[in-house]
Amino acid sequence: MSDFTELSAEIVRDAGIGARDGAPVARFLDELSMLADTGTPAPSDELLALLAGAPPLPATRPARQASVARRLAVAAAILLLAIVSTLTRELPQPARKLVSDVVNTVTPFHVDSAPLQRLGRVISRQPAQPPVARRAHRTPVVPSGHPSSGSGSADSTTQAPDQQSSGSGSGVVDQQSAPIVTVDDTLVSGGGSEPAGESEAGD
Amino acid sequence: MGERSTVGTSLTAQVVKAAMRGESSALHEVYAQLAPKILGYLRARGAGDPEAVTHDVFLALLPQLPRLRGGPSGLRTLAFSIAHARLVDELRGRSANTPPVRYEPAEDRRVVQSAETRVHERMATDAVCEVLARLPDDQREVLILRIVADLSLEQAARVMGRSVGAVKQLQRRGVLALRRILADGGTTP
Repeated sequence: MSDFTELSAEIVRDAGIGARDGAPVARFLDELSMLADTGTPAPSDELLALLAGAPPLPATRPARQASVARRLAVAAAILLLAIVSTLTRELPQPARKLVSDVVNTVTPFHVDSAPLQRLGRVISRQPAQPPVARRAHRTPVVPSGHPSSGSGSADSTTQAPDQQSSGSGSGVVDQQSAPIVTVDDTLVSGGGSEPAGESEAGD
Repeated sequence: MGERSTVGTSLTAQVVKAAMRGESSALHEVYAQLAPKILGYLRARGAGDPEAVTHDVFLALLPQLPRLRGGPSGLRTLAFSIAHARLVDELRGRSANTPPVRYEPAEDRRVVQSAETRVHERMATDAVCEVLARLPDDQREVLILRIVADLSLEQAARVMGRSVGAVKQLQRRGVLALRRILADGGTTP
């Protein structure tokens, strides 16, 4: 096998063929190796430019990058719009929860959906079960016909706290029995069955 | 007896580094060293237009040089990986468009140099390709990568996307098949 190239002899030997039996194969492999010496093809003009050190022509990558950037910008705008809508409660509650989940998962920001949910429940239940804290900020109104309602007019009206003492009565309102009306005339609580009327303030 | 080509052994690490920096002389050196092997590989594998595919391989290879890893060995592996992929694409496209035709050296009209001194070489090439055409495709690929492209087992395995053991087994089977073909009166160069 010494008449053949080292690589051909090695390949034949690795196949488990003896030197004598492997001679035709080794000769064939040597002839095969001559295929690599059939000459260098003349480079094309484009290839010549590259071989001269010219930068390669930009393929479609800039267009792809621009397209990706546009998509990212649109996605960011949609996400921002959703966040703003969530914070301003313009979305339904399930959508708000979804947006808050997405924001908490995808972005480094945190939008707490729990207060929004509680707020949603509070808003929906407010007419039936007002919170105590909210009632404390309402201005009590003396119902009509109450002993402390000043002139005893059939009407009652909203009365400022500093004006209560200026009335003709004691100025003390029984909060257990008297209905308390909020500023916007919403019935909050009280034992009276009669709707609250207007009272003459300052009387 | 053909003299073993020493082309490729002069592709030094310095030349490859210079080519990675975009130096024109080094790029020309890389082309001069690798193009004949890639052309021979494509011709032995039956590419329809081996010269054009060789150009395509370098058009894809040269822009990737700045990110090359592995020095001369990595360059050779990358170059033949591209050539392999281009060849597979061409063969798939050809098989999708036209029915497979048995290789007939007498009808091969592929472009070669027209010099008379090439005539004898061409006859030898045709004879070699005729024998190769009787091998299974993967065995033929391994032998061409090992002999024509002068790749190691590991490099050939990377180009073909197979394990080294699988490539070694394919090489062994290919050599045994070659021995049978040649013993049965297969055209000997």
